Amino acid sequence: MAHDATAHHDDHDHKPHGFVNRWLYATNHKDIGTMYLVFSLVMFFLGGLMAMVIRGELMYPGLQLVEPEFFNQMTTMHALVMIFGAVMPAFVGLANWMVPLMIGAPDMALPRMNNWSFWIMPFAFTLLLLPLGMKVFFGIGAGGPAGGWTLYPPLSLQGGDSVAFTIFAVHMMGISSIMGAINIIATILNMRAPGMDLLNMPVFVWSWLITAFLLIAVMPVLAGAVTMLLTDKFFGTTFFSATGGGDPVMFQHIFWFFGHPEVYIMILPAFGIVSEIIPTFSRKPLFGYKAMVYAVASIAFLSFIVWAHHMFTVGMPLGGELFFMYATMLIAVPTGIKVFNWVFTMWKGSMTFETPMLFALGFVILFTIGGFSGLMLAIVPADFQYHDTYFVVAHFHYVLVTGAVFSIMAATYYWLPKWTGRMYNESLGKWHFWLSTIFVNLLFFPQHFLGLAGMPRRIPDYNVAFADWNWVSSVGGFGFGLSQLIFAYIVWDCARNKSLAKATDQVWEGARGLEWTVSSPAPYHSFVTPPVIDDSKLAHGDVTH
Amino acid sequence: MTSTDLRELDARRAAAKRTAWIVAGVVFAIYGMFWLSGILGA
Repeated sequence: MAHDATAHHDDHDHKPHGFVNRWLYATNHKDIGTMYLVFSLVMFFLGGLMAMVIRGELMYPGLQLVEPEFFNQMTTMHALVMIFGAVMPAFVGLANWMVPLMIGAPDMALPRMNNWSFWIMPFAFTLLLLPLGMKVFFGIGAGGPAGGWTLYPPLSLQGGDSVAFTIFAVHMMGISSIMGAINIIATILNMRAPGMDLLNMPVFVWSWLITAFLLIAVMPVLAGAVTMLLTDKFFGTTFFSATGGGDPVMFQHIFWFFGHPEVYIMILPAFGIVSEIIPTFSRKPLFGYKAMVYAVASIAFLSFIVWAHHMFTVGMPLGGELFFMYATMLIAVPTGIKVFNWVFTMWKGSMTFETPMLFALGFVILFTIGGFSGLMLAIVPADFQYHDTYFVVAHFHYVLVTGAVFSIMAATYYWLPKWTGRMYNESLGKWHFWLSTIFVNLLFFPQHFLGLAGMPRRIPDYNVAFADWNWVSSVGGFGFGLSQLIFAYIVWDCARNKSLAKATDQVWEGARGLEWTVSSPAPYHSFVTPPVIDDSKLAHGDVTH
Repeated sequence: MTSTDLRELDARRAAAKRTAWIVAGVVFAIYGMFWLSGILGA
């Protein structure tokens, strides 16, 4: 464990002066982490606004708010903004802030590349949002992409010039992600403090190491797929067009070879976060540390051999269907290990229920619901019924909202006192949790019923038979959206309100690990002198047995 | 911060740069081979 002196010794900050020097030329991992998190929050509300348009239109049968073409643009852009703009940058921001602190490194290994990774993002999203913005605010052009975030040809190629904007934006996001991933790998493999062995690292660090390998493995695949789309659209190639000997189904295979690991890129860091929070508020070391690490690695491996479960209905040989069905079901084993280990960590623990713990518990229960509906979708004959219905929408929103987003909320509350040096408003945090949890279930649970009853996804109008549950879902959606304003206020208040209680260095009574040995707020430069590691005080106790 | 600490930090940063180039090189090589096999096979 770090000497006490280390924290105080590093407490002089030497921050660069001026906005441009501090933020545009930022190389400090904490500043870049903050920029990622702020960017992600802005995108979260922008994507949320699109979701409100979708739920507003679907509140009643018939067309009332927007044209069908605009509705399709909303579903497409909502997904692209939330996946690439909100969830992924949030996890990268958390990694930037916390990985160096957790492994006793003074900064990321490649700070200038880190700057570049971040600053590509605002330009990428300007490109992505430009066609939609031009249409909405100036009435110019045909609007944004409307063929779904999966960009399946031939539908996606029938859009206007927005196709080129989307593809270049995806290229830029990919470059940003690959550089960020390489930086995280180099940091974790080379910048750990002496004594911080790989199997002593916090699970959050492990989860990010594995996620970073997933990122560099699959982002080039997406880049290749969209480049072929680009040449099909503008340069006369026929990679995905049967008229020239191409195959549109090939795009689906290539896309989902990226797309399924991408799902795990958005959930493995969440597993890491929850594995940090539950031990802290149970006041016990994590149950089965090594099993947790191996489970994350197993899930990452399996993510490469299950892609075709997204496309059972396009047709494939029976052997293919069976392989992808069983491989998908196999993921339940390491995932089950993780859920059981979280439960056993809590077993006979001295538990308290501060806001981070509430969100972590919400994650465990609600993500598991998403996992179970995933198992249902893995069954080939059942999937033939569920495919492209609201059941799928319900499934992936349980995984991504009550899974990934809840974990990001949990992480924010957990580490916010370390970032700002102040305790956030706990009562408001609890209000945020309970309102979010009630409304998110009101929003997404009825969508299971709608899907099982046959309501297709990505449509602006529907049969009156689906009216009641859609109304309930929309009310849940508006409630969930409004509840997030509490979150934005809490974060802003904690960052700005000097009258809030000062956070201690350890912040939480049960917290273990290097990040809690530096002062709160974390000094601008930390661990310039490597800390001395004491295994017994690390997050997971003695892991040698 | 002592000069030994600084030297040690510089060594770790140099090793990190090597790791980054190796990771990038391996990814480039793997996808380069895919690309090449596609071109040659066409």
